[in-house]
Amino acid sequence: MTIVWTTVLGIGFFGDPSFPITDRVLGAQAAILVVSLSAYVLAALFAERRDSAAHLTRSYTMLKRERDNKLMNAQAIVAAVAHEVRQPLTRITTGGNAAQRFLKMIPPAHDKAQAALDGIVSAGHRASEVIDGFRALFAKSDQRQQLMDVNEIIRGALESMSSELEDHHIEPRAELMSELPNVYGNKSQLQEVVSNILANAIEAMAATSDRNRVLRVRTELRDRKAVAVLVQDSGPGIDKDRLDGIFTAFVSTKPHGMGLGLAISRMIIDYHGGKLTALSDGKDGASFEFVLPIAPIERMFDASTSGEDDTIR
Amino acid sequence: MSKVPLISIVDDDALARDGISELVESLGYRAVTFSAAEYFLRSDVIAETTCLITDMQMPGLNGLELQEALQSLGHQTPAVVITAYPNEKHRTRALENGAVGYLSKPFDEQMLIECLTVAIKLQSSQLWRRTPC
Repeated sequence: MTIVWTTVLGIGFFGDPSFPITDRVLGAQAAILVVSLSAYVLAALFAERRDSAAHLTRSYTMLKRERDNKLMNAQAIVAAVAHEVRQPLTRITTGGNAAQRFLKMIPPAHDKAQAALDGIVSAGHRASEVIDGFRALFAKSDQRQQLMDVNEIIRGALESMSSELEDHHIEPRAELMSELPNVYGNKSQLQEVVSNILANAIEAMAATSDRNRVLRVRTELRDRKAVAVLVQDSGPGIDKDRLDGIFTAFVSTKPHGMGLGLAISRMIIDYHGGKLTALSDGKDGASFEFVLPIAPIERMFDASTSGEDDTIR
Repeated sequence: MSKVPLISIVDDDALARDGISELVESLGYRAVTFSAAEYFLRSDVIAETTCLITDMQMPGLNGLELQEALQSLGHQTPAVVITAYPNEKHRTRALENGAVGYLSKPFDEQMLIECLTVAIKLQSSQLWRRTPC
């Protein structure tokens, strides 16, 4: 052993003929071992440095990407607002112009002018609802929480979409469980989720011509602690490999969609302590399900304080 | 052509569709509306249509595809393409396809009126010029 150590410290020792040959071989082996070990350590040190340099570059790229994403988000939001507001604006400008002309006719076409004015009023309300909806999503100010009847939200959404359903010859079939317990949360956000999912289903079916168009909406109580809402369409379905991505922002199931609706919906349901999932075999329609915890009375006090932490930004 | 011109309106948005059809009627034309390009293509008013007003972004066929489908069926129906997402590429393609106008929502009524006037002239003279309004 002493020979090994002296060999290590004093190079050339293993060449000394006064030592037995086995010791000299051992010494040589030890020297080789030491040299290769130190080479290994040095290599590892260099690698670590290289790694940390790569890590820095990576974080920088990630930061940059995140910043770009934020810009994209802002652009996407502006585009979404613009699109949503341009439709009612078109209704207002064309309807207003039409009403003027109907009134100038001889004799004036009062009924038609009246219809155009009614259209203008409801378009104005819709524009304002659009703004409210976006505000509810992005402004911290509207975080009002209340007890809500999910069935009522669904009925409201189906009613406001009745003309779309009719236009696309879609038959709505609602099976809403009676005496469903209330849930607790932000009403306009949940309305947004329901109308996003329904609009998605309608759009999926509007593109098909070879099948019955049925929109099934069901509510039920799960394990006496959660309310489940199931929306099923008879559209072409969503491919299995695309199913995971549909809740990611800017991934759209529609040719012209922004890909924001489902991402926002999942965000809202998460925020309410629930879960939003999608199922499809890629052939016979798709179903979306969200589950929300029912509201025990004590939750009213809970949510108003602790809920603030998870505010959607 | 002594008959009142028939204007076909294709738009998946009910609000825009109703507004445009009222405007068209207030101009003294007849209006017929469709919520999807496919419904218009399957209808029996294509030949009678003096001018088509179509939205650009719709589920199923979009406005450009509708224009192209009409052409492949042998119809030279003048079209006005309207959109809530104005886009230079779409504009160029729409005009190349022979659209008399490409308008972004909400559009100036006067622009639509001029487009319709051009379209009606084109139809009645059977003279097909590609002069966008």
